[in-house]
Amino acid sequence: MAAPESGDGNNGAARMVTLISSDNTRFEVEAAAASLSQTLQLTILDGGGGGGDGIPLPNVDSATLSKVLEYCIKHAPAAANGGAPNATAVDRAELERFDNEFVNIDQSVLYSLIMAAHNLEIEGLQSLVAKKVADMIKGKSPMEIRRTLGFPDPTPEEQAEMNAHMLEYGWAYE
Amino acid sequence: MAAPPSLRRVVSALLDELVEEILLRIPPDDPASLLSAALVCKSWCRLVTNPIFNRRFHEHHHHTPPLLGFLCKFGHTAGPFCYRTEGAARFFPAATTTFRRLPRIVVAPRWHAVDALRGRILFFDWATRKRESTDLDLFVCNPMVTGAEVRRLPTLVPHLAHRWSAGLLCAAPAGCSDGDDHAHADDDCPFRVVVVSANPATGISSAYVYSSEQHSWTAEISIEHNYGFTVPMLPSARIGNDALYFFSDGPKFCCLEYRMSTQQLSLISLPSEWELPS
Repeated sequence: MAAPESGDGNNGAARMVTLISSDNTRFEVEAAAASLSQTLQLTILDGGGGGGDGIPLPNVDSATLSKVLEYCIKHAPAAANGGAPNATAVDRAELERFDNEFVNIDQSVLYSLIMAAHNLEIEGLQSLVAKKVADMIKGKSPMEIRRTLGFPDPTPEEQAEMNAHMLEYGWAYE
Repeated sequence: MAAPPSLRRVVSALLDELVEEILLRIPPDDPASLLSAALVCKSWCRLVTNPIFNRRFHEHHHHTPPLLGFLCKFGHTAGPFCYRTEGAARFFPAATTTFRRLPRIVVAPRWHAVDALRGRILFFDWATRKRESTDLDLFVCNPMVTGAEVRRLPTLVPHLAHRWSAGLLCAAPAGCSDGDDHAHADDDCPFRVVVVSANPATGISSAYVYSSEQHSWTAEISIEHNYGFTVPMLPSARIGNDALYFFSDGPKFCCLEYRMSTQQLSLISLPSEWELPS
């Protein structure tokens, strides 16, 4: 995905923009794909990101950015159709399959994606990742949720409070 | 063993917003998971019990009416509207509300839920029933409202107080369609309580309608049909927020229908082949 600088992106069929990750890797993508990000869209509409300038993204590292762009490139055609009213069932199923595969990733990458999707304001990705984490929570006890999400073990006070709640609401887990 | 990646480390405390996005996506029919989430830590608990989250959760799952909570009766198993003395109806608010802010009185052992409509619950306090009188005292409470108060309806004296059933209807000007899942979180949405009783001795069935705006029983509608049945204390069926249907208990297989739009009570005979063998 990391592409060398390739001159003026304003020529040709699709306008290209360059994004620069926090660790200084340059990514060249179609403006349409990058525009899935509300944040980037504004910059791109202002004519930014083309040519040698690039748009710096100091909060997103290259591993995360490449993942984000993988999502954007896949979803750009449907988004360009305005929510794809004329998309076929096959297209939708394909996107769904892609989404399911896409979030089947290491938790650390998943959490980085949450932040990136939030910072870049990519609504679909935010929703997708949040749903994935919600699925990870599903059916678990409070302690299991804490462990799954890597929370530190509760302090004795917190533990006592949780136990009291469990006593009151234990039926919910039966 | 390497520590699992920490959501908390990545998504720092200032981003409660992101945690909210996650918790919003817990399915509405899975209140236990949301309850678990609320117990994960204090900030999650604050988040889940916040009325703003409550509202957003409703909006997010707008196609599925959320499970607001459920009523559970301990003791005998005579249905949700049980009239045995040992039974006790308990309301467990689920998913989208504050977990422990029910008026204490509502969980009193002899309170029984008669009906529920979008967060609002109609109760009967068995303790207020007296053998010598036919007075009927009903209560309405909306546990979806923070600091909910219990509204005591004016005492009703139906013709046959010990055999009745009741139901709730929404009386909002626009009405509540089935697709409209608004829980009455503000508690100022007007409503009706319809009590139906039938006297087998006179063959007269009556409906009494309570209006929340006027805080009084505004209508009594009676029909004479000469069928000797009573209305058992069983839950009614509500269709389209207009019609309520009540079981009958007697030799004739029929049910009573009350319609809010026409304010009429009717008797509907049911096919006799559905009758239970006597």
